[in-house]
Amino acid sequence: MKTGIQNILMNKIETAGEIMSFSFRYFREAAGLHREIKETLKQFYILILRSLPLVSITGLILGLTLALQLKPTLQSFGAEKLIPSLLSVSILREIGPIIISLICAGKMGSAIGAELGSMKVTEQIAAMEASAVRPFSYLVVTRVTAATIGVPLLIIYANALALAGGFIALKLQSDISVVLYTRLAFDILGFNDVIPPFLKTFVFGYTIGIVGAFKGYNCSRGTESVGLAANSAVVLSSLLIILLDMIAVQISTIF
Amino acid sequence: MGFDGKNIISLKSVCKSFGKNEVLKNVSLDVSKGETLVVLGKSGTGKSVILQCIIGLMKPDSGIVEVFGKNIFEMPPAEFLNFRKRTGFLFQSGALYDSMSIRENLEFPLIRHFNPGRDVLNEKVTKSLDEVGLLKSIDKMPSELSGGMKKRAGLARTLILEPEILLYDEPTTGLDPATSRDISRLIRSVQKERNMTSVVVTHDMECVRMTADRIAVLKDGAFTVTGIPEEIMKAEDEYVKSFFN
Repeated sequence: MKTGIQNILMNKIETAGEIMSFSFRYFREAAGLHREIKETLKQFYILILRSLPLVSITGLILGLTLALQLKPTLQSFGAEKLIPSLLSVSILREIGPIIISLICAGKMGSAIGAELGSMKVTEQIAAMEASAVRPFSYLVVTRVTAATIGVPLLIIYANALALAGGFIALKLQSDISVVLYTRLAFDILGFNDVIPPFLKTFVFGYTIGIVGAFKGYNCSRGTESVGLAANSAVVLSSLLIILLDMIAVQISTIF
Repeated sequence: MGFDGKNIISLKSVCKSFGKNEVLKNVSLDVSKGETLVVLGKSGTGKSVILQCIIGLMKPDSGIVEVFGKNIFEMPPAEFLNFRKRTGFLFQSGALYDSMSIRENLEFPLIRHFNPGRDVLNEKVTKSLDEVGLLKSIDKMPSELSGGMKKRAGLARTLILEPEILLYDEPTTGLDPATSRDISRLIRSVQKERNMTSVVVTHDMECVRMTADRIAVLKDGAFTVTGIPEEIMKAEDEYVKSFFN
């Protein structure tokens, strides 16, 4: 029993080390990113486009439901006018980044893992290597960079939609104006509500990209492993996002 | 850049294991310039592993792999990339990039290495596809091609970089006899027209008969017999006989 647990633990530590080494390789090869601008933009466009419908719906409904849930509770305390402020702080600081990152982990992480995994299994990556094309630079650096930049942009967009959703929910039940809602929502925001949460979204984007690429690029032979690569990319990146969020929140409270 | 030595590929005491499974045991092999060597052996004997060691996709546990007179695993990165440009590899499945059309598949290595103009690209792609008889399928996607067509397209993509060595990993596996013969004929004509050095890994006897200048028979991770086809066909070894009978 003890040996089994030790083996599992050793495997996990080994995987963590491999991901670290994969990450270092990304930063080393990212120095040549200027040669891959066209492919990076293509991947950026594909990843954003694929995630846009889901992110839009999630963002809008997030704001709507949050406002609807908050209203009765705050109304009972006579604190109705705090709803826009509560919405903006909670969405910008925490709910927006974490929910949209998890959505992107499902959408982008699985797409990157499955695509690279399938390329690995069908020897397309080996074919690139054999023809002296650097597959890591062409396949991994481009996708990870696209995810690192794309996820924060999607989160900004989803946050805006969530705030709009909150406004729609309030407008349906009261006659609050856009100007008043905007003033109440934004006046309360400070540096800590905007900048640190925005910066952590780059880390989330990078995590989604690097984990998806790692799982796909190191996929073992067989079609079954492609599914496993996509699945484990989602599971691991989601878990890491939650852990990293906890660390980011701890760090931001220090300042 | 030219290589004047006789043996363009040379494997010296190469060993390779996967866990406890010893696949290659002290394998030594020389391939002369312009020669087509066929590596014959049953499935799982390590034929493909030899090819992957020659192109550097797999590193042997011990031994030396020399191509163009140099140990490939001691080459500086730039020289290693240049060696790979001069060495083509036809994968068993063709390994076409499935998100690209056949034209884009062929253009891809050219653009990455030389970034030529549109006219040069069109000329080279057309010439290469014409050589393998696939010009009509230039704008098709890999998923629209049959197994034999995929191998032809893979060969065209390999030939477009004008390699000096071509490694074929089971080029006729999974094909009907007529298509297998077409592919074997193509291998022979490419070798003759370009004076290409080729290593063909197969267990298809028709392909062996049509393409081989020399045959090396692999058994339990080591070469049991090496020689010209006429010699090998007359060999008394039961394992070798089993291929020809």
